[in-house]
Amino acid sequence: MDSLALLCNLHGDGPATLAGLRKLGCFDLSTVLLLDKVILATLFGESEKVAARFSREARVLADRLGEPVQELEREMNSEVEKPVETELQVEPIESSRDDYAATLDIDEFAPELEATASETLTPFPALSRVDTASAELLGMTPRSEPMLSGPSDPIARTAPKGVVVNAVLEFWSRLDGREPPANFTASSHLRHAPIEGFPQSAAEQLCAAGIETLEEFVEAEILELVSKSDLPYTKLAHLQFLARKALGPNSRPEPVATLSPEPAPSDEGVELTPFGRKEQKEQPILEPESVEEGPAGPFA
Amino acid sequence: MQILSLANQKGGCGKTTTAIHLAAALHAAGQRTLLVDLDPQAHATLGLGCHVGPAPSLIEVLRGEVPAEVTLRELRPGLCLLPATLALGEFEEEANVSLEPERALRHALRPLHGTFDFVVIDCPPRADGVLTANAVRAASQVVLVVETGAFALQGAVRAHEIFREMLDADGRVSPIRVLATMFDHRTRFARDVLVGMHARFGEHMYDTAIRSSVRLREAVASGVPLQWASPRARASSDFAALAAEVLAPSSLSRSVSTPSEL
Repeated sequence: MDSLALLCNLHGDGPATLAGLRKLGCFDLSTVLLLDKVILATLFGESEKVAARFSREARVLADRLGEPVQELEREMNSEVEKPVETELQVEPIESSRDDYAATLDIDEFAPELEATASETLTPFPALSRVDTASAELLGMTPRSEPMLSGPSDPIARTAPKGVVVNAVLEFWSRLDGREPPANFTASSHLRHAPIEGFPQSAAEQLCAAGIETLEEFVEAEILELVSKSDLPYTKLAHLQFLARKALGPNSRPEPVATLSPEPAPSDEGVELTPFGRKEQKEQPILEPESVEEGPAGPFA
Repeated sequence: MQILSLANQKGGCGKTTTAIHLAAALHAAGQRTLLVDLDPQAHATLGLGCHVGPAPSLIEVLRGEVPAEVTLRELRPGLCLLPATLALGEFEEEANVSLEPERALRHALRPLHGTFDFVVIDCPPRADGVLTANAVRAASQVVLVVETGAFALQGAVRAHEIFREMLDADGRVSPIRVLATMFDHRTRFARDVLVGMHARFGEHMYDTAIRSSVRLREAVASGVPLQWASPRARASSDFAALAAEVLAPSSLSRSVSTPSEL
């Protein structure tokens, strides 16, 4: 009996809870603590209060058994806090990588691009935008240093719009053992949509059931999905709610919160549409109007 | 053929109930299963609603008077019982004058290889008797059934040592698995006992703890396994999960088949 089974026997529904957690990819107490309360509540068919209590008991049991959960939590907290600091300092960060794909270095997704790169790795304006877009797709915050190539990179200079992003995603899909769909769009693909509370395993199951994009998922009938996938009805309903919320009223996914400044428009390189944003056109730079200094506020 | 011996020197810890329902769960999982009632109280036989009467039973098999196939009672296709009677208690006395009495069951089960996938043995509440020694020697996996109640842990540790010595003497290296039963998660005491068992036996424990259930007791009293009467009952799901663990490759790899002379 491992510690997770012990927890499920002590504070859950025994084998049923254990099977559900393992289905979600939890194999020890520390991963239970990483689970969102909403997902736990859906798993139990109970309120979030019950889920929070289960999570609290997991922490207590981990302390009792001497499992290193606190260190993991500390690491998580530090990763969560990092972007805030970075935003203030506007410095590049090593991202908080949540999902499987993000744990891989982005270089691995484009070895061909890397192979054609120059050996000299000097900053290159267009490449920073490639990096930004790809990083957004991967749910990462971008790094400022160039990762793909140097100035002689032919792809970065000549590739049409979206080619590099598609190349990155193609390699990603190859790593997963799947080919990207023909109508693949980076903005709404289910597996690449970083929605809080939407587990990667559920996205994989939906993809296996033929649901590739958020839009498809929102429009799909839940009952049909129940029969096509192993996901229970309540969980699907909740995930559909999250997807609908992410798409928003304009049926567009919410933009990923990037902590770096917007890439500066450049004439050379690849024009990319950042994830979740409408195509950005060059806007005239608006100079701030000079305002005469004087009293302000309600007493003006 | 995997042979599971459910044993503990403590009485009332759920050995018989577990044996009956584990056999039924393994059968429900598609395994050809034989339940051997090795308890002179014959509670497993009674719990399955069998009446032996003058027909031969396990005592005759252990004496070598009749083959085991003759005594089998088919409960359902693929699920059989080797019944016991109160006369089984005599075997303890007869053992003093017989040669290698602790191997009688192993020899008796030998012809059944290929007939059954699993044999579940319900042991008497003793750790040092000849009948229990028969069960341990015949088993490919000894399962220590431990109630999550008072004195359970102390008794379980002692029984574990005795069974370990028996297995070592037989040159067997298979670990003894521990199953927690009668677990009531509502009481702090039961939770503490389970945590203590986990600390003591760790990975040798089954992930499934059989929860306390009135319906299990009622089922045994009525002579029908709970899975047949209420397959969706909570206790039924517990035993289904336990059967799945027993069937899992990792579980089977832990058990070591009986020596080649079997």
